[in-house]
Amino acid sequence: MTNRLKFLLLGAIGLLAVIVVGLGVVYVTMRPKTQTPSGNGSIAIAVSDKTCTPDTLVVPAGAPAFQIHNTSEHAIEWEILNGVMVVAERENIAPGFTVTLTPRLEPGSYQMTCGLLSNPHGMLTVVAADGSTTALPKAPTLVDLVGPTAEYRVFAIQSSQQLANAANLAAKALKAGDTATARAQLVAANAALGRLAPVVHLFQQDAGPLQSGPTSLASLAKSLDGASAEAAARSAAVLSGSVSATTAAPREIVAGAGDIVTALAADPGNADAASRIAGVRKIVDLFQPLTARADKALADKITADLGVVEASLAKPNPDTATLKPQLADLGADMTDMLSALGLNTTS
Amino acid sequence: MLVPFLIMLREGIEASLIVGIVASYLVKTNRRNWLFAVWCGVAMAVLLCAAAGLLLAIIGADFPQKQQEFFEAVIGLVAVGMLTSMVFWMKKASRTISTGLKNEIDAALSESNHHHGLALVGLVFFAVAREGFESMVFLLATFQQSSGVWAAAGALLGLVCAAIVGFAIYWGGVKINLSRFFRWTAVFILIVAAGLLAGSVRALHEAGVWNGLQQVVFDWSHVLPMDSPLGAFLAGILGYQDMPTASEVIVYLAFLVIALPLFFGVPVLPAKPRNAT
Repeated sequence: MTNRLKFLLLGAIGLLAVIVVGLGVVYVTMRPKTQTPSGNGSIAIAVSDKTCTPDTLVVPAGAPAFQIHNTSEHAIEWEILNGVMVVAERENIAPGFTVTLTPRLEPGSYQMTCGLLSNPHGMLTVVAADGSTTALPKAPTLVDLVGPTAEYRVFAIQSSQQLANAANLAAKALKAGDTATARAQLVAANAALGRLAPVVHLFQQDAGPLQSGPTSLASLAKSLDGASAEAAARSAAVLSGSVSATTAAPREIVAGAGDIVTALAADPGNADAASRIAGVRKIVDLFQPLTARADKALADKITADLGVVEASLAKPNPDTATLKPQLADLGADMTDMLSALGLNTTS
Repeated sequence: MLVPFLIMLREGIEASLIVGIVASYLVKTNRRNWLFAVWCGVAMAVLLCAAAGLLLAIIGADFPQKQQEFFEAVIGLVAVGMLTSMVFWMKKASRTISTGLKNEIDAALSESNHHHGLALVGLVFFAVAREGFESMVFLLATFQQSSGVWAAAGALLGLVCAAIVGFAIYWGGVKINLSRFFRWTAVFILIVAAGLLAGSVRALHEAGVWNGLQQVVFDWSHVLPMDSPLGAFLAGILGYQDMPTASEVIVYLAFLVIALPLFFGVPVLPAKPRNAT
């Protein structure tokens, strides 16, 4: 290497060094300004060894600013994932450090890694801004609805199995001449059918015989007819199979609960009112977190109104005159809940 | 303090390792005069990264992690190619050495000497730049965070230790007996290259480019986490990952399965001397 080239190289290095020192001076004098994180609109997330806090986030589309604070004892990396794809990430976050990440995010559902990459992922929902700057649209996405829908499916399957078991035991008891057991099992079966009321219309063909006519559970409890009881047990078994094989859509579940309440408001003296409201209660509870996220006031109102109805029904002789307006209020709530969850449009 | 130290140790070793290997290789192939260019390349990369990091902090912009990952992947793949070709060149050279024709090394070198030397200096520059920018951003963060002066001290100490590791690799490479250097450092360099290759695949995933075969093969994050001293050291030198994905493991093993037998497959002592080309 010629000496001239060496001098050229050293000169370039010297120049770079001067630039770095200059930038260093600018940086040190500016530091107080840049240090304060942009408090407005930034989203603080604390990441511990096990989880993100909060672990469910709804943010507007665009470039939300995440402030990730590592509260764990380990170096972590924080990633926003779309399936396996890394959408944005920040590596080397030392314990106690806070870093800012301002990724461009399209509307949709994402996952956030929390602490160790093997830990359960947090949920990040990015919603399209609709022009309004006040309240964000917080309607749940399809992904949000998957959880409660799946849990309801489990509840429906369990109820239908309880129904089939009780009907079967009732038929056997009648064959053996044990009318007391038969009556108790038929009442239990009818209660299980009542809890299924919000979705039972989806299985009308199988459920129909259990609801009306000589094989209906209500009339069987009075007639205690052995042949009809066996027919009812067969219907209940078929219904149980159909329920197990079906996943009701979120809209069918929530709308079904609303329809049941509205029907009861027109017929507050219905003998199955208590069990049907128990079925509605399950749906309200399962969707409660999503309802609360979309409309906190509505979620509180539903809880209150449902409690009032349950209290009235718990009395020995429910007063239909009092129940009627209470059920009507709850029915209106359920319609609002359907809109709040974004399920009111038929699709 | 420990975690910032280990983070900087790992990032630093990833760079100093390549510098150490290239520098000792240049000395061993009678190109000591290129060392000046190597140090210049390192200095320029460090200063450019410092400038870029400071600029980023001054304008308050986000660290472009995805672009950084893509850059890391590309440089990583280039490094894999160059390290591998170095190894096989050494193998060829050691054959000539064993036949006592030492001058033939110089003959082989003089032809493409200049271009090859420039390429190696380029590799050193980019290997340092690849880790330097991210390290600078991390270093500035340690000054800004409320965690106190120890985080910054730890991070700086980590960089110093990484530089020491780089020098150790350089000196080790220089001191070791010539034929042994060619044989065993070759194996070491091939394992390093395999780790770099796997790391590049990971970086491509984090850049959002490669999304196949992302199943985690094993999870050692509780046994040997990457922010433990040994984990950080192994991550820096061999590209150790505590939770590798299928694609990383596959390229790592595939590279070694192909490269090692190729290296050892042909006897090191040839039956008859050949003309060096």
